[in-house]
Amino acid sequence: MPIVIGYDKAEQNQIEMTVAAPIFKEDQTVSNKTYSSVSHTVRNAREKMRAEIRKPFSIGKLSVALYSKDLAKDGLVKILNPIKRDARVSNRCYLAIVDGKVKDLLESDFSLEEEKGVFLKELIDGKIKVGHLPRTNLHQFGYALHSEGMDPYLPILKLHNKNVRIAGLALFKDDKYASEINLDQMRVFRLLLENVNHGTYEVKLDHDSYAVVENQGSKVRYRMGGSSEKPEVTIDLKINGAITEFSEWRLTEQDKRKIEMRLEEQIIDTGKSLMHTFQTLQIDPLGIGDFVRSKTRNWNNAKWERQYPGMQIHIRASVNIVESGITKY
Amino acid sequence: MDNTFEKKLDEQPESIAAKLQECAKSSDFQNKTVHPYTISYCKPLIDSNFLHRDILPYLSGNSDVSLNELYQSIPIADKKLSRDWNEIQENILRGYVAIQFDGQEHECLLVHASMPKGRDVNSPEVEFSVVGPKEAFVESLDMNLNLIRKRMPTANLRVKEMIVGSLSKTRIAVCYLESITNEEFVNTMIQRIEDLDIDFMPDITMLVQMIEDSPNSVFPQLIETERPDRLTQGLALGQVGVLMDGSPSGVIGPAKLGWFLIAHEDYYLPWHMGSFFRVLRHIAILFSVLATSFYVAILTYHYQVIPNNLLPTIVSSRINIPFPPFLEVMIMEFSIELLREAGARLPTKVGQTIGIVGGIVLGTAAVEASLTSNILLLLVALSALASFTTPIFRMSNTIRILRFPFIIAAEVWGLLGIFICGAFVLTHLLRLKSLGIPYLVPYYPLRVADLKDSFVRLSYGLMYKRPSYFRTKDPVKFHPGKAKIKKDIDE
Repeated sequence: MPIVIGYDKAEQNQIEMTVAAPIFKEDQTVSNKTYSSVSHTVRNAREKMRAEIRKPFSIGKLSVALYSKDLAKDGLVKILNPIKRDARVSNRCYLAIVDGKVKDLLESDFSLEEEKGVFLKELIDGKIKVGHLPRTNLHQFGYALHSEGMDPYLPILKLHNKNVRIAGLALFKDDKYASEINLDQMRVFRLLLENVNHGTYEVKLDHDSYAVVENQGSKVRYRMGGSSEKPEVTIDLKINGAITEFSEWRLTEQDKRKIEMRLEEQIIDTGKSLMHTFQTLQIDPLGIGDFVRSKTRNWNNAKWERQYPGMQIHIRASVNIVESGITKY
Repeated sequence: MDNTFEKKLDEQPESIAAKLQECAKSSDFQNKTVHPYTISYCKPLIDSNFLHRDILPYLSGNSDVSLNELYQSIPIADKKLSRDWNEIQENILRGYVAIQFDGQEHECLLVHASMPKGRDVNSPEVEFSVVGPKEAFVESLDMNLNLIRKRMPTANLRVKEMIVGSLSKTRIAVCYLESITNEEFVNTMIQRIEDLDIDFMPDITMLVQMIEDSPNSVFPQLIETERPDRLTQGLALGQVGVLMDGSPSGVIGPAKLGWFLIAHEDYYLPWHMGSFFRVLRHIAILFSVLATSFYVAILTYHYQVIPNNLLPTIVSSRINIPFPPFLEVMIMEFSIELLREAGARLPTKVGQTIGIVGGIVLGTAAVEASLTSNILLLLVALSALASFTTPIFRMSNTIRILRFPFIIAAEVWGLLGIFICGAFVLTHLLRLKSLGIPYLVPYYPLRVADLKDSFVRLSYGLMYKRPSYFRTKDPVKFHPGKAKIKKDIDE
């Protein structure tokens, strides 16, 4: 009854499947034992694994599926197929890319108390709920994969000193791994993608002083301009923030204005460089194409693919500091 | 009236005096001569104080007066003259004293002298309530009718008495409100009772099983209640009530499923609380029927639906249990039914001990002996508890029984089985009728206005109409427009 399954690339175009099978003990603790098997197809690998496992192999509780980066570079559709076909696998199952070998990650002792699958699930879950990881799961991956003018993204997990951490976001061109962005870029990426009401942002001011702004609620809106031949998209971002840390003694009104401005600049800078990367790689994880499609009659995907790299995408951000804590200064 | 004893008498027509002498073969039957009269009575049935104080002195003081004159003058209201042997016999067996005048061999004066018997009115034990009247029906029909009449001093209240049972001669009274109740219900009820052909009728529960629309259904279709307030309120809404001599409960019909889940106390609490308790009770019933079958289905087939964090708890609590979930559940259900049955059969004091022994000792022992898991123990105990929330005893037994088909279906087909079984139960409920009205009303057929008094109970101001499904002659309880608005004292 695995909660996490991992897939690696094996020789001769084969797949190595690794399963961390939970072992329930009488004192309500759980440990894991990993099993691996190699085959051309996922289901056959599962079948082979049955030879080693005493209890029936049942996929129903699968919560996290991991894919190695090498495998993702070749495309995920082939491996995802059996999961998408199986009614027992929840659509809310998380998919993630592993930087390195999945088998190594699953065999290491990164989780001391919990079952490994539960640990990974809660790690991703927590980062979506209160962190900077954009919403993602099997359903959304499939939606982004199959809809026109949209490309999927997945979180990257990395084994680091016996700890698993989220290392960034993997961007896909169709089902193939194309590029990745780091954690800082991911923060801005999430702001541009969806409405968020949590998360903190560090603002660097001039003379080596820093401020931390907590997001109290951000709204993002896409607007369309230009002509149908030459569409332009403006991404409007409004953030209500609260200052939770400031490295100076006093926080004046001017400081507040300055922090607002700086944060706006930071977001716009990062956003622009992100958009530049996306356009150069011809990937569209924000789903701008999908948005344009909703505003355009006679949508033509091939034409859009030609337009996208050269298209004007403006980013406007406005930060509004609404709160600066209970101290007077 | 067709017992052999009497037939034999018919064959040899004799004078009444001779017949009464014949009756005296039964040793509780007395013939006494107070010259010039002979009095005959059945000793256990009459009040001997009354006989000695009021009848005998009067007779000895008025010797040589004929029966007719005696009839005129004796200061007792309930009296009659009769020449009909059947009537005389019947009345003697009901506690009358037969007075004969020497020489008038074919006539009798019957004087009522029966002893008021039976226990006093007690507080209800099956349908106990914290607030509200604390009266319950007793075994005497007259006392029960008295309880009803007291609550409804209106000439509208009609009581039709019938006699059922060739041996028991049980008096059965059908009561209804002339100006409100639909005659169809009254006629159906009366007809069904009249059509009964039975020798002995010890209790009204037996009667109910015979006159229900579908006697083979596990669901009761007429409400048995021991609360006079419930019965009278039923009458006021347009239901028909039935009472039986010798039975401490009344029956009201037609009934819908919802009525069985209603404690009458709901009407005595403010509507928010009444509604809350009703919703609670509905949930409890669903839980009681379905909890263990879901346990079986999920652990046997659908482990996916168990949350990740609950998984270790469930798995580790079941790790030592050698049985599949189905057997585990059956063992537990069996033992809890056993406990309940033992508790019901034993005297009250011992019953409490059984409860403690069952609850604490058996439960822990079963878990320690790894026959069941903690979780199941909890579920079974909770569902047993939940089934006690049903106020009508017969309905709570139905719920007790109903869960077993569900458990079996869950074992065979998992969740699908539960739904199939649920569909069967639902179909059955849809087909059921009570005195001709659909059992699932007001949910099906949907009567939106009657939802006010269903799984919730809204305030009385809104319920100014009688339930439409009773098709009453007078559909309105009171006119809401005429109700006075309560004014503030300052206005």
